[in-house]
Amino acid sequence: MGMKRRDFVKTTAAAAVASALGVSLKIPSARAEVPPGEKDVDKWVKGTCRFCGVGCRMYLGVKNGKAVAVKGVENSKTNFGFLCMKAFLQYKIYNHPDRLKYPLLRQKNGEFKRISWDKAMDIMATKFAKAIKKYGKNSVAYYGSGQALTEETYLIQKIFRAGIGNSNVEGNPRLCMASAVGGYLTTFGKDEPSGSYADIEKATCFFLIGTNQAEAHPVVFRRVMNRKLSNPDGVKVIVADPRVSPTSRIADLHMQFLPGTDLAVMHAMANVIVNEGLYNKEFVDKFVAFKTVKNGKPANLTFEEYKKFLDDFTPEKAEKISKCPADQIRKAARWFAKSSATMSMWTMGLNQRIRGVWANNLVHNLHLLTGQIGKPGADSFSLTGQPNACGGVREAGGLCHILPGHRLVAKKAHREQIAKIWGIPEARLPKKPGYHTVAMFKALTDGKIKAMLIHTTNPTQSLPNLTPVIKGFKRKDNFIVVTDIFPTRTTQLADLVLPAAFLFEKPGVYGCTEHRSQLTQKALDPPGEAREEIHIFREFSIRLGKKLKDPVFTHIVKDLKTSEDVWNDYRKCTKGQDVDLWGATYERLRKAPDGLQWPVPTVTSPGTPKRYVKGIDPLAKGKEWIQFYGKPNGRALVWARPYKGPAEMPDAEYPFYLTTVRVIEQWHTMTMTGRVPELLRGFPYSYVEINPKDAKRLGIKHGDMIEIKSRRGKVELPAKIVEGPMEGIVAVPWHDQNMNRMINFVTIEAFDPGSKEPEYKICAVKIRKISGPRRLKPTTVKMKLA
Amino acid sequence: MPITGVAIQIVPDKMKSVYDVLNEMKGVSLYGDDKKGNIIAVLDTESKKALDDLNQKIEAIDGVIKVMGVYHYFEDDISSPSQKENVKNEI
Repeated sequence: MGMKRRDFVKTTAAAAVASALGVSLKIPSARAEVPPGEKDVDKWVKGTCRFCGVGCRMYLGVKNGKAVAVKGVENSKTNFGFLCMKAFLQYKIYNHPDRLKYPLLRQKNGEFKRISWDKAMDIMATKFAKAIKKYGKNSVAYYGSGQALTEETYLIQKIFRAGIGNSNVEGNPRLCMASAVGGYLTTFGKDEPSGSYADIEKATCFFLIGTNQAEAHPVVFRRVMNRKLSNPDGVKVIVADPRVSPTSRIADLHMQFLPGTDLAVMHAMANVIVNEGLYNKEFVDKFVAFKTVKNGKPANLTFEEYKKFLDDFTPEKAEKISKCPADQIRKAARWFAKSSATMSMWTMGLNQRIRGVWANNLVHNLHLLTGQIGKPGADSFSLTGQPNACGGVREAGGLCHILPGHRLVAKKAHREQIAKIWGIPEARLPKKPGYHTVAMFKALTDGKIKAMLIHTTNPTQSLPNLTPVIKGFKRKDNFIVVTDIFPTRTTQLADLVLPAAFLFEKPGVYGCTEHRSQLTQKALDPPGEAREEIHIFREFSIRLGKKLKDPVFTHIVKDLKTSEDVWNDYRKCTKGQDVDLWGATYERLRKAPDGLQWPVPTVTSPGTPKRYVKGIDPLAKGKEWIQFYGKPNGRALVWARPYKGPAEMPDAEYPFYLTTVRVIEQWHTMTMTGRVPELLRGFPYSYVEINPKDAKRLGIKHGDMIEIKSRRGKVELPAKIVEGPMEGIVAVPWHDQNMNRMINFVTIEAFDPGSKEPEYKICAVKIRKISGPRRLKPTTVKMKLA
Repeated sequence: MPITGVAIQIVPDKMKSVYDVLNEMKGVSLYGDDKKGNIIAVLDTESKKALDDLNQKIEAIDGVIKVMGVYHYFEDDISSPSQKENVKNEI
């Protein structure tokens, strides 16, 4: 690149930053000189980053058919042009030499052999048809992902439900946000948050519980940090987390408590709010009802009865349970209630618990008691971990109990609505939910599932208590098909591997945390013979229908030839629902910098940044300024949930709590980010964080190799002695692919009875030093080709 | 030879001292700030690794809170991904 051109690109880069910051750039005239006919790219293509749930909008710059640049979309309300390093570097994935380029079939010797697409699709359809004929329709299953496009999840669940007739449709969002779904549904009667990221700039108090957003949602954290820095005295940040993290470092108040005691801490905050008269009486009288569970059924409570229930949760009693000082609980409750606008955010710390739904209810309780919802800056706002857990899985029917458009499998009226849209008899649709995630893989291990399609996810690394899971994959009497872009621990165990297209190699929609749907347009061709998944699924349906001699399989997909066709089919399912996307056409999504926030009932609707609020949400049609229309009389519910600790408490034999955490450099199981050298350098392998007091007591030094053992399995990791976790807790990042370092051999599969989400965040372990420091290398999974 | 546009977020009362350090750093061009604690900078480096190192050096300056990227141009970037260790079918 010549110097003039280099100066030109540098000026372009500076202008992009200035634009994101909302300032005009003063450029020396020499630098501003643009070479004749020069441009940095042939075209900029808009899309959404894949590496968390924020939904950052980015452009991919394409020149001569290749990706040459990345920049943030400066007028996007999700990220205002800012991107984290993972977004910046994802271009390294497109032409990576490890990309899967051809269908691969496992041979008898365990090696994989390249086969044609025709043969691959025939084998897949034959195996599924054989299983259905011999073992029944419940012997086949689909396990998908919050990283799949909405069109992909919608299409495959349609094939399973309308074609095969079962509801064994699951996805990895079960592992990360199912408890948030349960919390919103039981409190508000409708899933997903009310507010938007835009509330961040209006909030004066942040309650961040069970979220290390500085690493897991860095662009959201930047906004929180900016808000705090712009008004250091007027904005309070409360972080509630057992571990010191980059997020807690900006806190005005860091409440550290023992894992699994969050219910006691939040009830105690409610106790302070009620007993000190800090609740919003007018809001409570008009918009809130109180509930408990008696004899297994919901029962009404009066405010006085709820107040009495809270007597068991004084700050002092909560301190005894949680080790969180009572004065901190009082201070947090007062800040929360007295602030002009409080915004809560949380992720896995609350969700990955055996009482994750209750923990979510208790955050909502605090907002409802204080009226900290509906007004600008106030919201009970669950952050989602994956880019399309909300849009694709929660909204489009990607879990075993739901149908598209926030409908339920078990409700006949909902089945009838969907059957009518799809042009099939209602009787074809399954009447009961299928296997949830933990049950699905147990069924695989038990030999009940004979054919399975796994799409864009890596369960043999990401599920808890992996040893029995892997046994299921190793059975000889099942057939497992995996679509992905790279070799993973799961493709290693597959029978058939289908190469998929990556982001920007196909068009499609992601729906992020703030009920916002955004289109990524195609910019590049996938490598080799890799294919868009909707084409794989459509062909699978047609071929399976032929094998089963059932024309419905073709009928339900015949008009769905492009992603836009599939999106339009899905839009019909949302029409008139709370998740109304009827007005979100591809044409509008192509033009919009940042998509649209549902409900979007018409093609002229601007979208809905604040649900339930009259004048903003088109579904709020009553008289009051806020209407919780998901519940009778528009009243959201404050729940009196009993205290419940974790499934497995430390004891004499296993004296430590283990909690699993994330780091900023890596994403999930490192199958993608682990292949980017710059990110791998930042985090080459996992480690175990140990509190200095515990390390001293056990004679452990920084870098020593530590065995971490639970009742289920063990790993070996280097020690990182750090004032991170509280005494008695060890913390391990879960990304590492190395078999000796995969922490999910240790974690527990116990799950929330409501949400079925496993308790990754807590189990009991023992630790011991096994050696001094060892030289470790990062691991990247390869596949053995014949 | 990647070119990267970043906003460097500074603790407000350290703005001058951070400017002084950044002005002396090779590969860093400054284009002003937004008067709210964000400096507009372009990082021009020989390789992705050098960019990564420079990024870390900037984040280590006293008073720098965060470096956030906005624009990244990598047409000339010839560094290719590599894997140090290939693990075969272990499971």
